[in-house]
Amino acid sequence: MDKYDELLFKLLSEKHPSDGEKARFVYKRVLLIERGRRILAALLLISLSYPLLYYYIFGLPLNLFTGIYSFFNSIAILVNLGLTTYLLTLPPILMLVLTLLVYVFTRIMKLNRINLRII
Amino acid sequence: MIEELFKDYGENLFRFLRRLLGNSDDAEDALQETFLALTRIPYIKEETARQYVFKVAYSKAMDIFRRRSKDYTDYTSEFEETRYILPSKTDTSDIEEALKALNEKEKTAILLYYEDNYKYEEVAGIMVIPVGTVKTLLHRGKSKLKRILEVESG
Repeated sequence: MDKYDELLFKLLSEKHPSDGEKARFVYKRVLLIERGRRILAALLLISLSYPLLYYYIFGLPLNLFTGIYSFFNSIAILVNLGLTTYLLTLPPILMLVLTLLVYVFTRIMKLNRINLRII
Repeated sequence: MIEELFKDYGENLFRFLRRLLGNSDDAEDALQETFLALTRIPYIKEETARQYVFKVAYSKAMDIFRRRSKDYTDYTSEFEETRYILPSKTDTSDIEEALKALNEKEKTAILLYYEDNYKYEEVAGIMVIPVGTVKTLLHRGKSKLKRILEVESG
């Protein structure tokens, strides 16, 4: 071991006063993250096990199934109504969109001073 | 377990990471990643805990190096050209500045050996490289530091 080794050992083992403080701050942050992770994991476990517990205690929730079924039925009616309305109003909407597109296109052409020979 | 690990190695790990990565912000990130990884490990042997903790920290630091590899500039050639001439009374901040001239492997070897007093075999275990390579890295790193700091080793 030469003098330079000794110097490196001495200088590199010196402690910086703020290192411990920053490390403690990081440690607190880690604890907070870990606690949050555990709470989330617990919540997830509860939410996943809830249906099983419900079935175990009260049996099959038939009312819920009927509710879901009627809900989807109402959705189907809404979708059908919406689709019909959409198809009926499609030609005017298309015309409006086309006009808007032509307007935007010509504005861009004018702003950029582009002259197309066909226009 | 994590509390004990922090008490024993927290400060040393932060100092090692700060010097290795070159700034406190990245060191904080790496230390956080290290401890988060350690919390997921159910059991660590007491005899190998110190080495294991540094191994995890080293791998996290390497992840950060890889992430910033696009923006990372290798200062080695620059330092070789300029040859820093520092006063003979070199202090820790000069060494830390000079360490930036080394590549990450040389820096890791130097820090583990001189800062944390690891043996060659332990450094090799942490870095997952042969002992011979550790000796080469240490020699190369030390020569670079010598050149940069211009200290007479007598």
